[in-house]
Amino acid sequence: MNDKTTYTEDTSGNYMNRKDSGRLSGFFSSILALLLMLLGLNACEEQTDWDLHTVPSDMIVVESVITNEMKQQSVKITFPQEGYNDRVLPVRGAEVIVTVNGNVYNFKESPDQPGIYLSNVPFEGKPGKEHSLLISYGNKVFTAKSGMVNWQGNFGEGIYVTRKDDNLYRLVWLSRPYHPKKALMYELLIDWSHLPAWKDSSWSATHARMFYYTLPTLDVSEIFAPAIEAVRFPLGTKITERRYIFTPQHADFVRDLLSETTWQGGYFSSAPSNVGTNLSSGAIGYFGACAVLSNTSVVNGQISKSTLTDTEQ
Amino acid sequence: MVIHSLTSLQVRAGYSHTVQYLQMLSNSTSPFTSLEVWAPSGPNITPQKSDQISLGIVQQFSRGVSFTLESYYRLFSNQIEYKDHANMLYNPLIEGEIRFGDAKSYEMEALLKKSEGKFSGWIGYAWSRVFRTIEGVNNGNEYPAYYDRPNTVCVNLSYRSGKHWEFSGSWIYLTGSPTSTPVGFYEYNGYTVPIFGAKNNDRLPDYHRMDVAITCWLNKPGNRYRHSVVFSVYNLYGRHNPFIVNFNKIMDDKGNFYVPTALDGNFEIVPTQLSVAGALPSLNYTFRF
Repeated sequence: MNDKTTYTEDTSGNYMNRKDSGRLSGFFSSILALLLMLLGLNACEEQTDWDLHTVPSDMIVVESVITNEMKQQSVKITFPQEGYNDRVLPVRGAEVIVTVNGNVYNFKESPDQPGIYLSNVPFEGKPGKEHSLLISYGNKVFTAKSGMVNWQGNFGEGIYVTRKDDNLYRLVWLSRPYHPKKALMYELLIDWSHLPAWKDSSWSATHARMFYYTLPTLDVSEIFAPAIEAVRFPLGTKITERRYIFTPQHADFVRDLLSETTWQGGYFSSAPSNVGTNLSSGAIGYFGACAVLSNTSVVNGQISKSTLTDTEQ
Repeated sequence: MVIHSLTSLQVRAGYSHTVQYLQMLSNSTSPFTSLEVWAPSGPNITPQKSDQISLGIVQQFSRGVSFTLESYYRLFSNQIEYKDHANMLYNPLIEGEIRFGDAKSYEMEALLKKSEGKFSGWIGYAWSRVFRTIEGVNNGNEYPAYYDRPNTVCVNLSYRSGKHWEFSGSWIYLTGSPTSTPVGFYEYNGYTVPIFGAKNNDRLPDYHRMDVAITCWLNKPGNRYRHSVVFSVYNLYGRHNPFIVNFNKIMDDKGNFYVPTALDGNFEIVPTQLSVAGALPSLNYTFRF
């Protein structure tokens, strides 16, 4: 796939490549935009008080992605919460083991970060191999397995585009949302704490963590997803892009996750249901293994390109 | 079957067996979607069938007034439902996303109607239930269908003044439709993810609205053609009838709602509901021949 160098800006201020196959044709998208505008004029969203019928749960939530980076890998284990704004409570005292290519790695709970278990020694995940997780907590054992996809082919440069609003910038496009054969997650760690005007600001006021995805499926709820928050940052901000490639099973989990979070709440939301998992014994969450590429760039104008390229392995 | 008695009382009974060979596949809970998929029956999709028995009485009074009391019981088989998070778009193997099961519905309906004179209309009340049992959905347990609305009230009144003017109004009330709301949440990668229990475990607020219309017939009855102008107002008192409730958005300082993208845990979820809001006036011209 070659680098794309021709960019156009659509009526929404989004930059896109003219050959981008993830977009609808102009006529069809105009009709849909008109229908949505008419719908929007006659529809409204308002805050509501809702009495949820919550129940306490004895499940555990497992969040872990083993990567191909030589480092201390982590497994995060928490409890579900009853309310949507309730504090997340860590699971303490679990025994955690990950096996990769016949090698067994023990994990120990971090004293500084309750609920986060770090491997005793650094290790890396292996593309093409099976990764196994075993958690023992209480009188239950939870297991999961995941493969890791090799990078295949030259994905080419990704781009992200920034737009200037009132001296601050924001991302307006990062990646094509659809690819028939690839599933990727782009984790952006945005940091402007080093800039002189922000040196005394809090961590939360100078950092942001955002996710974008490329998936091998298209959903109505994705196409007509609700409005998302715009994160704004100043010139000179550092953006660290970490690109994860998923197995098909991991992509299914992410699609379920987005259906219930980012894509939920528009006019064409799908029927709500539980997000799938690859964990046993009633645990929820997901245990995955991903090859990762990472790159850092600096915001220096309206259009910025990340120079991340992958190579065949 | 209709039995006319010697008085003005009529007794009706009926049985029907129906088979449907073309199925509409849709995975959206929104009433606005038009992106359905139509699939014919085949080796993997058996035709939907239903059997219904009905029984009713109609009592005629003078001056075009009648009272009807009817009930029915209906059983469905080969009903189609979609597995959780079914992939419906651009999926050549769409039949693999479908699950099959049964359904049942029953209703009791009362209707008081006046069809003669300048002043006409009807008032109706119905009590009905609809349940589905689908293998692979809701752990195979029975659940109320999306269109299960136990109580329905309809009032429709019309007044004709002279040869040119007609005034009409209607009011409709329905129990809120079933919906699935979370029984808990968990955090994954910064997302606040809902946990659901039984399917359709909750109900949206009750639905009601009033519509009014003024019709001006531009020519007299008896002509070869008739034309009229109608001014109407849909949802006269602007009731906000929600069709979806969400637990995934945050609110900014201006009161706008967004899905959070900065997933560092520093946001507060605000439950919201989407509704078709406000009164909708319209002006129509009709020509009939």
